[in-house]
Amino acid sequence: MSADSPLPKPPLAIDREILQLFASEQTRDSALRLLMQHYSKRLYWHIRKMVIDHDETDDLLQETFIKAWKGMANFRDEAALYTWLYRIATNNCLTHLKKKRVRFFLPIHNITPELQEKLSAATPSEAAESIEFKLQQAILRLPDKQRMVFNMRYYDEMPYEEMSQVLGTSVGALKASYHHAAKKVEDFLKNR
Amino acid sequence: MQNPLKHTSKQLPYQAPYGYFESLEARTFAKIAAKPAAKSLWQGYLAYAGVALLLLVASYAGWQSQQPATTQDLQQQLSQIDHEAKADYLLNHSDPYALYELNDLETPAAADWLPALEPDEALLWLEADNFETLMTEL
Repeated sequence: MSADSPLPKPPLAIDREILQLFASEQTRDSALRLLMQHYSKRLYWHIRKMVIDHDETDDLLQETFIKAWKGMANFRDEAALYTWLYRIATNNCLTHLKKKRVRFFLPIHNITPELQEKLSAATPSEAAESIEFKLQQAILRLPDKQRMVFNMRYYDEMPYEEMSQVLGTSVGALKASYHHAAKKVEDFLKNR
Repeated sequence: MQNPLKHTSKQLPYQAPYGYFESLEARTFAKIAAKPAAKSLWQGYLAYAGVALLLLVASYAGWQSQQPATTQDLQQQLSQIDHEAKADYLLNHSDPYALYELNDLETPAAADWLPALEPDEALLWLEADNFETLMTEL
């Protein structure tokens, strides 16, 4: 089982070093290398918890780094680098899931069964009865954004203020969203 | 169980494949390097397709311009002209070619469409001062 959540946040000095390296054309590749070294695990699990499938996570994670690398020239220090990366990864995830749901000329497709199947396929048989697996089953029943909020708060233990910067939602709305999500998850687990 | 979330570890029931993070860096750099190449290849295909399409359109236009206008073409062009304006024009202009110019018609093909005119339109032609000249020309 994964023991990578929550991961410690990289120190701000790392962010500064990444930005300094990126400023010069000669050291730009080193900036990306450092970025991946420090953020790949956090972002991988952030994405994986949303899309469940490893290959899709891999694609989305690489896209996140490529977008970050290309957009870093426009990055402003108003937000922490890791908040900005989270935002890119989050938007990638939500767009990816939306694309799966909405297909041309067809009714909106319910992807929850597909995610449940992927969860079962990814989980080793000895963990299929574990409480962690059941918790994941419960989380997958939540709407995308509520699921994102739940994951960021419960697994990543991200402060609401930072979640607000990532998701562009007020702290009050995030607290309410987490409360509703946790209630739904608890009810599901109690009734199993 | 009072609050199941408090009794659940924060571990996930699945893992990342072994060695995944070690290979991520190389694969991401490879993807970055591959993207511009794929883009330029795609742009190349688009350029070829664009040129081919232009040639096709040009050859079709050339072929089309060599074809005599069909009766349907001429009738369609005539139908686009306001009837009263057409009558007025026919009665007040002596030059038969003026109408051809107006409708952008080819003179030889007019022989095809003249019999296909509605009776009132044909009458206008018959009443035109230049009818005989016109028929001679045709």
